[in-house]
Amino acid sequence: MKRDTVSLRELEERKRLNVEQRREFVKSWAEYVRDHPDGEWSRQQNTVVDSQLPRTE
Amino acid sequence: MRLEGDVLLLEKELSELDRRVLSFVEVLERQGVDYVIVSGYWAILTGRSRGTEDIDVLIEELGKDEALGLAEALEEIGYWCINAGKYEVYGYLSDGLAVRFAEEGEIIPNFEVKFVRDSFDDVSLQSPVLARVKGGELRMGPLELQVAYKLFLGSEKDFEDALHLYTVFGGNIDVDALEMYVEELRVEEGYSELKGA
Repeated sequence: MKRDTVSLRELEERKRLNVEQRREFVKSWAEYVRDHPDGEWSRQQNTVVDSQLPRTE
Repeated sequence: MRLEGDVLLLEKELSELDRRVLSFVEVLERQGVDYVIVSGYWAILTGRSRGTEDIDVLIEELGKDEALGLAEALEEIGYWCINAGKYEVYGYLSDGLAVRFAEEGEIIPNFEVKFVRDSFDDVSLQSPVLARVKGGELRMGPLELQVAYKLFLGSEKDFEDALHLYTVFGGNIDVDALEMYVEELRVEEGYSELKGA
């Protein structure tokens, strides 16, 4: 089924919303980091930070 | 994590990236090279959940022999310079260019090393925050300057880094210093957005 063509204005609006939601997430994660012990957030963060690095056995 | 004056105390579990940063700066220290880490790694060290291609390191101006000595010391621990031969390192740095060091056989992550060039770099080198982590200490650029400079860089990723630092350290940020850098870098608009985010 062919979908409707999206207008540039709609795309711009989606982009704006996406930026807004990403910022909300970044802020809520930063609040989590601020309010929780280092060991708790760093365990989770390391999965992301190290995902690009080769594993050292 | 606690920021007490110019000392940041972190009890985080070190990431592999953190370990690499510690071993890199250990060589700088052994060679007697004054350094400071600036930009994105500040946010990553303090919890921002993203990877990075490079870690920005400013170093004091070195002579030709000292620069070669540094390149060779890094070579000894298994690093190679991606964009210059070891004899060219000094030339690149003294021309205001960056040299990038990565672990042998790798391109990323790499350490983007530059000589200090301007008054902001001088402030960074002279007024570092000492980040104490398990296994070592890192010299980080002044927090307030990182926030303002991230706003100056202006990409969405940079804004998010600024937002992370501003949120994590809200109560500890020296607002006068931050606003001074905001004014010097002419990023008032971004700063308003940051406060409203």
